[in-house]
Amino acid sequence: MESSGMAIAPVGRQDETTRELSREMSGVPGGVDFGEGILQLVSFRLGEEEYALDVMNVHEINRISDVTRVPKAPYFVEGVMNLRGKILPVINLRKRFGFPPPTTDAEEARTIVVFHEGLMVGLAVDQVYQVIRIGREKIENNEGIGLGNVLDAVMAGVAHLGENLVVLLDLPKLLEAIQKDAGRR
Amino acid sequence: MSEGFDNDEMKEIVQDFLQEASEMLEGLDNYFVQLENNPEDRTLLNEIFRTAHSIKGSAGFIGLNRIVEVAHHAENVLNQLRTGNMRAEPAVVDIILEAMDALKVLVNEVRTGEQADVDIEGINMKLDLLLQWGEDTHTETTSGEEDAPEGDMAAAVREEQALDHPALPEGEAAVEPAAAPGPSVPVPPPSAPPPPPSAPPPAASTPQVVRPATSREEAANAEAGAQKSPEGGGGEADQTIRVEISRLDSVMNLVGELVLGRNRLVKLSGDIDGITDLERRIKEVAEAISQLNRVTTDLQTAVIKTRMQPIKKVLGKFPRMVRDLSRKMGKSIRLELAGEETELDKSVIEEIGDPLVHIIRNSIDHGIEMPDDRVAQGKDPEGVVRISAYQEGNSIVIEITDDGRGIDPEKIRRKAVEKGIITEADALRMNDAEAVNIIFMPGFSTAEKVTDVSGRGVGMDVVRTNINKINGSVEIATQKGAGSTFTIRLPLTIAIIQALMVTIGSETYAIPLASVVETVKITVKDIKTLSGSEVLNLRQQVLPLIRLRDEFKVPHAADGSGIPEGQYVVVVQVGSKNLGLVVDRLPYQEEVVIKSMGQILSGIRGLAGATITGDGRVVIILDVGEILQDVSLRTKKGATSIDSMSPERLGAGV
Repeated sequence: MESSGMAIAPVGRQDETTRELSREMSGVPGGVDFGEGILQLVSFRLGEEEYALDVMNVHEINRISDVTRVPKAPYFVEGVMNLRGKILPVINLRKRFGFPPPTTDAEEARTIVVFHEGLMVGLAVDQVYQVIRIGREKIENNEGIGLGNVLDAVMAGVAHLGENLVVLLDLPKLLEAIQKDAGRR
Repeated sequence: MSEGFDNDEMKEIVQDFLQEASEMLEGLDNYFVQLENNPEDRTLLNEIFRTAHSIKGSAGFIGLNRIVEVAHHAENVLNQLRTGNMRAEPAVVDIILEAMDALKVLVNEVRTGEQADVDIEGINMKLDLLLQWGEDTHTETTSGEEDAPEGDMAAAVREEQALDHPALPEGEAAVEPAAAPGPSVPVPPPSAPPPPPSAPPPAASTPQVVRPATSREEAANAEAGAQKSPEGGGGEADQTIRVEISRLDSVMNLVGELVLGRNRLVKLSGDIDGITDLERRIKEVAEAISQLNRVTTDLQTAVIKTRMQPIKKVLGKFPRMVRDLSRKMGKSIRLELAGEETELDKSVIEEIGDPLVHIIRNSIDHGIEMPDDRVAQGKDPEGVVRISAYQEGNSIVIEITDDGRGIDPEKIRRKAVEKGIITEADALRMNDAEAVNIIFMPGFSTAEKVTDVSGRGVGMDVVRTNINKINGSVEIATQKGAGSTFTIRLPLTIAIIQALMVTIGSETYAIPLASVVETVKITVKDIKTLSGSEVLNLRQQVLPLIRLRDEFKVPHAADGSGIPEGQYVVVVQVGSKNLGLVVDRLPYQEEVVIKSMGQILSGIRGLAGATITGDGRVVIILDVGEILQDVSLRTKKGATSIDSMSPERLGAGV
């Protein structure tokens, strides 16, 4: 993460995240050993809900800066941004999932840069929380629990984290759906 | 190949082989076409033999047995040709070329690692039969019988075949119908394609390929420089490029200068404390910067040069294609190439192949008439397709000319109206040149009806779309009965272009300068409407306008400032059509590097890509060709078309 203007904030957050992480990791002692059944997830906020992506698909997390609007782009495309000389399309996940526009200010908003099979895109989210490690058995593989068609199609399951429910997104499916919609224009 | 080359060294050897073999096979294609015209050319025959032999050698070295097998059988036949025991008749060359195609597939098989479906046995059998037949004729001729009767030969072949391959049913060992005036050739085993139609009389039709007057040696070298992936070989773009050492040296030198410039700047910024004469220091820094500026510009040019390749790389496969197509259709066609050394950016070279194939096929399919028809019209029975490439200013021009039947503008008009592409009124107003260019419009397929020959289902609009994609343009000029000329204009490079920056509200866009004719300052009041479309009366010419603000739905500026009273019109031209783009301001021009916006956003019409400006922002680059196309389609659907607006009508309308 070498995007200027965010050098200070994330370092602090990083520590916080690590602390959170060891707290969450009740099952795994030391938090170093990644067993077969352990998933590492990046969790983030959209509206009042918590979502997560497999950390293996996450390239980096950036502050949202200078996104250039692309005329005639699909509604869920926020625009394009300069990722160290590469043009990165930014998808607005709120719009993609049909959420209303945010009411709070965008101070916490981030772009999660994800990649899958050569395709790299930024996902604009309201706030990035932490990296979670969680046993696979704690994830309910309940696809299509009626969260709306758009969301049902791209979720991999729901993780129970204490009181909270975290919706685990299936990135390949999400990107596939986005590409399909973009091609339909 | 299953042997699995696990160490890196072996992989490298295999890679080298793949590249070398592909180049050689490509070269062989053209040698054979040449050979057909000069069957006695010993130098050429030796060159062919040598090339085939080295393919076999290298393949054997790394244990690619399937390739060795085919190459070996082919070599036997080639040896007969070389020693003069056999002549390179078209039918003979047909079979050898088939073997070369099989080799291409086999080479590609090594590349992809997937077992390809090649009938090696069948091809080897054909080659062997050819060999057998060659020996027979040879003994017959040497025994004094100059013109061996057709029947004897056929019988001999059948006999041999029956002996050699007893399993083969008698009926399938057929021989090409004796209608052909040339010697007949054994027809291959079951899996082979049907025999080619009988060759046209040799006297009238020996197809001849005109090549530039280089020595064979040079041609061979240049051929080796071309590295096209084999036809039908999956079409994946080459990931490697060959660059002349001298070009790399010049890049290296410039990089050296760049480092010197950097050191100078570092030194100047290092000892700030020691500054006594500030003015002098500023001057020194300015000098260092101007040196850096010069070096980067030169470096840019030098790097672009390393990407330049002769267009021969694409044109090289056409002699073979034209030969095969004309043989298949029973037409007699001569392909003339000129300007093969003209250089183009590698990316342009890759993109231009398909459109060219399409245009040439079109000329051969629909342009050139059958020999009899041509004679009836008082033309030479042999048709000519001529491809010439040359540089013109900052663009490369490729012209494809045929002396065929040309295109009838009336037919095009009728069909376009039929298909609802233009209205009856438009058809009447269009002049012939405009009418002919309708073939490039989406929804108009020349392949289907113009000549009533069934087409391949792809229209000329695909050709134009592909060429537009690389910022090029294509036009056609035609004369009924005398032939057609396609003119393709391409930029020298597509990576870096001069762009005019324009702003609308708070947004900035880049317009490729190559398509900008002029810019005009206007006030909003100068914009008139004509049948619902906005136009500008520019020096008594009607210029259709589109407001980019509306076209791109640019949001209103945050500071509440509305649309400025003074506006600019950027007049753009693609082909023969003009359009005015209305924008707020024209801040500056810049050289920009075109970058793709990625898969998700690549399909948006009117946008060519994006670039990153000096301050790190992303700016969208417009695709003027597509905008023009869309606007003219939109107006065509409406009551009036752009073409129908004449100044007089504007006078009445305003």
